[in-house]
Amino acid sequence: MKSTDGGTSWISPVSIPNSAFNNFEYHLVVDSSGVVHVVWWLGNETYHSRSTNGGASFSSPIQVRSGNSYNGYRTNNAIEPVVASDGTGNVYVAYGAYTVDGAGNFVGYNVWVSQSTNGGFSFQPEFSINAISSQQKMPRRIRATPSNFYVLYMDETNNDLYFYRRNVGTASGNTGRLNANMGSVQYDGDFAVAPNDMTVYGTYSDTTGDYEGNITFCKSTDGGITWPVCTRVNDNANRQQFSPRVGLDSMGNLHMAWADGRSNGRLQIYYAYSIDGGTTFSSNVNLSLPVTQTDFTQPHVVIDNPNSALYVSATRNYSQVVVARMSTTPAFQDTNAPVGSITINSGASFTASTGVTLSLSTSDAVGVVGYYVSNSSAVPSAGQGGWTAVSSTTSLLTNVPYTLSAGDGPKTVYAWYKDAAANVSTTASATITLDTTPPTNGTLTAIASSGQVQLNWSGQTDSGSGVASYKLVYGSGSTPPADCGGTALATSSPYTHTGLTNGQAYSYRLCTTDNAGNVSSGATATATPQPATTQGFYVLMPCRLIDTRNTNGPYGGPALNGGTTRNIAVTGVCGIPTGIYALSVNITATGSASNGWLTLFPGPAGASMPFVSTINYSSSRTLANNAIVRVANDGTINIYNSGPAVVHGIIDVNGYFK
Amino acid sequence: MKKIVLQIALVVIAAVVPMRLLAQAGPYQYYSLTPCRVADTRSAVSTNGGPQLTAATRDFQIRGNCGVPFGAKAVSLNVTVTNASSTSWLTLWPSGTTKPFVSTINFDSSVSALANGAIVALSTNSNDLSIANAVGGVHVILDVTGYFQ
Repeated sequence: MKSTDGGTSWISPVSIPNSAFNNFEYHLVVDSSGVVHVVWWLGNETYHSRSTNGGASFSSPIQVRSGNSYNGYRTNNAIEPVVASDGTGNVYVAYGAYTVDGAGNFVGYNVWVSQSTNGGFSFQPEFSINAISSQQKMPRRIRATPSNFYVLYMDETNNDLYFYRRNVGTASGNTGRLNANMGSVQYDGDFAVAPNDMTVYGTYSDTTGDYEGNITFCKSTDGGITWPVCTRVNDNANRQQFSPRVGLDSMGNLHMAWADGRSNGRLQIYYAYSIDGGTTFSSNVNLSLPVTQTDFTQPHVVIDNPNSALYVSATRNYSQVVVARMSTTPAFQDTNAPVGSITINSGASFTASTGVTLSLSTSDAVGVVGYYVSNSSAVPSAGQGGWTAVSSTTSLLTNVPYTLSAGDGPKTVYAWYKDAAANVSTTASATITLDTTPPTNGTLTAIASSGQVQLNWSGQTDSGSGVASYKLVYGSGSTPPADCGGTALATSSPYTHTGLTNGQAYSYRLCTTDNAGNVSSGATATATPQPATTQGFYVLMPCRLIDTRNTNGPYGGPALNGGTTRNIAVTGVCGIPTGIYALSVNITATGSASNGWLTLFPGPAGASMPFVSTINYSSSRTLANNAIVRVANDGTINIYNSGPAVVHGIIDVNGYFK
Repeated sequence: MKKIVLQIALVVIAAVVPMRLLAQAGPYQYYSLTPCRVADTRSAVSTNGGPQLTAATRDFQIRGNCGVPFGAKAVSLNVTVTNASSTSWLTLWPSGTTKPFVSTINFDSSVSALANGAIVALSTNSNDLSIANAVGGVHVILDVTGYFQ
């Protein structure tokens, strides 16, 4: 049957073809695609039929159970089915089954599930969702989302309700006991799943301390593994109260109905709602009044979110089905403001720039429709200007650029969120300290010794955010690096820079970074490592070391070509010993066709030439100059001719330093 | 006659005693350096840069540059002149003292560039080396090759 006027009138019943309902329970759902799924059991089998035209006609029933073996067990029948559909093609049918082992011996009644992945056209071989045992178990409710399916089943051995949750695509699930006390459940229960697929609301009639049963509501936030918080819903006690049902509307409100024997010993349907996620419930309302001398049982709760309508059906006098439509109930008013938070630059303590990124996070059971950001703590009203609209969403996480006010110091940014019902969240705020001032350069000292330079620094301070790190860089030569880019030589003081060449200048720059990321321009220092031993001067009888006018050879020709460098070994000739430090020479240039210059500098061969000159020559005459030339550790010097013409070079030595 | 000449020479020596005291300090050890251009008046205007020398005295800063430590007492240099406008000579001496009547390099305008090696004492002033050009204008380049300390 179907009603399109809120249940006031119903179209004529439609028969499902090839079916013959008996008196046992059937179960019906409409999924989010509008497909109606019906399951029932006849004889020993469970059947499924579907309607894709709003119930005007139904498909031919198919048997759900395959009887195939699963983990060494199989089903011999399928009774008391329940059905769920996620609206995307997955249909789940849970049923109790007479379970036998591989030898065909009866083991017990267990809960099995058949899954269809094609919307119910066919079902895959069934699987059990509990450890097979002789204890009698029957499914009570099943629900499905695109990512999970959930089954509430009764273990009738001790009257306990167990909640089962399985993630789509996995081969096993989690099971938790819903009722807090063992063996305390009156026959039946129900549950609802929140959109996050982890918060589950369960209800049952608890007989602990009251044999008649109290309507008990429990909440789980771990997908039904534990149910730590339970609340009594019925506002009286010591009356027969059972068959609770729970519904969750799109605003996060909970609606409960149950059969209640508190009035004249007759059973009537009572209703209560919660607008705080089940922490507290409203006063109980008798939906069955003013009917008397009548029993109402087996309630069902159906929520029509688009129309903000609530339907409660029941069986009257065990023979008639009645439906109550409750509209504009208090529970449908959204009184819960969004809950939100704000962070600046992912929670950083400091920033060097006024341009920051705010991370706005908020959630609301109905939907967040806007946020308001300000550097003032004045709470905005929902209707004033300045709100940024967002598409209604139950959970919002967005990053937005924001410009802090200028001037170093702490900056607090406030955020509020609102929903469509104009509820404004409490104030969320975050603080970050703006520091645009780099640390002071302080001082860097470089003290040279043989082959190394000792570096110390001090006096680097930062008042805005504090010094975070140091970076020392260096370069060869007397000019410090222009900035602190490149590889760090050291990051803490003192530091000894070793492995250096004596006589070669090294220059350093120390930059300091503060906690906001500002980098100082840096302090600089230059030092030249020198040998630890003193250098004495030794006189030589003047001796011609090299003359390129002579026959080609190590100390002869050819003439020096323009733009080239020649390496000359100086030890072992002219009485020059090994291990010398510098050479005193007279250098003569002659025979050139152009003006140019010669540069004497330390070896080894291939060493980079410093941009200096030792003698400038001209085409018109022979010129000489004296010089002291450092000798490399390998006992060589280099001579470079700028050219462009070739020139003859003559080097006469007259002494050395050692 | 001979005797008179000798007396005059003694007077001249006595007059320059304060300056010679500096020159007599020591002994110092020699530390060689990878050659390094410490001054070039053809560069942009700065302490050790431009402009070109005129017929005047100018002070340069050697210690603290090119690896020459502040404790250096003298440097070994190569002095190069270029773009000389006339026949002239340079005198190099420690700044802050009386200019001695000596020459470090003599040149004329006929050669494009000319160089000479020199060892010059340094004063403890910030700008520790004085250079005087006798006549006209000339560019000066100083390349250090070592120091005495």
